[in-house]
Amino acid sequence: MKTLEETKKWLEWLGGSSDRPPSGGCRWHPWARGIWWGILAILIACFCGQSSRFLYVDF
Amino acid sequence: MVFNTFSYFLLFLLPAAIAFRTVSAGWRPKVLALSGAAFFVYFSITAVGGVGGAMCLGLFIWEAAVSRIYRTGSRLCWVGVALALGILAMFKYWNFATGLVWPSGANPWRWSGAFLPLGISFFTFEFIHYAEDRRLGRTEAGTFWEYLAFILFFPTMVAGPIKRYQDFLPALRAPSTDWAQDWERGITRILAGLVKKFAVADVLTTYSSHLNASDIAAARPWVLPVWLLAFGLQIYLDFSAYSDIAIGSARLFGLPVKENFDWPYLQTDLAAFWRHWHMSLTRWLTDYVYIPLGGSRVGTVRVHANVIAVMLVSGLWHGAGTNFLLWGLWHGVGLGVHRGWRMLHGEAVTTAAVPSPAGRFAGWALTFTHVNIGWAFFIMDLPTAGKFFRHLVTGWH
Repeated sequence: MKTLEETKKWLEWLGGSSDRPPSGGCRWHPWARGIWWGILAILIACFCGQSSRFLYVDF
Repeated sequence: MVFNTFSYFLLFLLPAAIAFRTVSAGWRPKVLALSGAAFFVYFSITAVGGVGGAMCLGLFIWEAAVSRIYRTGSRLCWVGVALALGILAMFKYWNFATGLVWPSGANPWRWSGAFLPLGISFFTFEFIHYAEDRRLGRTEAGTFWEYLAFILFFPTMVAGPIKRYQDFLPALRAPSTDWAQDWERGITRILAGLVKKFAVADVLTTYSSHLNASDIAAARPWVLPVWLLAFGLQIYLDFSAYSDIAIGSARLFGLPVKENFDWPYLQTDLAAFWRHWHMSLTRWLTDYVYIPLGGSRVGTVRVHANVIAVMLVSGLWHGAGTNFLLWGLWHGVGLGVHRGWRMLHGEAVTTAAVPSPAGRFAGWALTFTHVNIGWAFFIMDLPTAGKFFRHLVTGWH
């Protein structure tokens, strides 16, 4: 359970939903942030353009 | 959809966020209201509703004007509730309701040109929240422009989270000024949301798109649960991605918006699932449907009836169709069974007991299975869902 909780905290940090990294982690080095944004941007570029609509409610 | 277009980011989000942070405090509500109005008109015309949809901007202005008469304890607040319910009834449920009376297709009352205004399911719930909270004295009125900024705040207009005025107003008056932290976290959140949407949720369409009558009839039974699980994962990632983008976008303005999801698929009972899935809707339904019905302060039978009523409302909110009603009923009954189980075992319904690891796993498996079976009623109409389960269980077409 501890590993699961730790993994969730890291994912929340990497996904931008928490302000501080899990205990013991350090703040973003500017290079690390740039690389992470670059990875996310590459993934977006690779997969965007698909037919896509909001699934949950019809507005 | 709106959030995956360059127009959203380049024409609206970046200019509005920069303007909001640079103008004087008095102009901030006007920046939000005017940018929200432009956003509503632009995406109504280019994405949904057309010119008729764009003209529904008048509903916001009318609502903001009418909201000035709301006072604590005043029955005039019901005007706002009735207005919001009337808008929903007319645009979203008219053809569904009249179709129930004349189901053969010869519906004389059918509105053939019906359209859904952008974000109608979300902004009407914010109208109702404000009217009711003003009546109960739970929020201050704010100014005309502040309320208009609240209802037209475009990052949350289309897909929520459903905001509360008492959370929004203090942030609007004193937004975060930590540009560096807000933009770093906000951009990360938006990028992560787009990856979830494009690289995972949309890819799962490959599997979930088979949930139709002809593909189900031709499929081997063992593949049907895989398609349904793919849809369950897709809908979570799709909707939570929109929430990520909305919350990240609001962060660029320096305005915090409450979370909408908190690992719902890891929860070990159905009540916990609903406290972690679309949390802003669950809170809204609790405050404006469940508690007014009597909540948990009434007898056991009434409590169960209230839970089922809330979930039926939830089902209808998600879509105007009998399949959505059945989806709500499925969850209402599931929540009732869960409540009954806990009462039978002497656990207080509101406190979280700590079961054994095996018990936690069993609870998680049961919850996960229940939720994913329920998605069958969400994605398919009733005849198709019937075929799905018949084919799954018996192998017959």
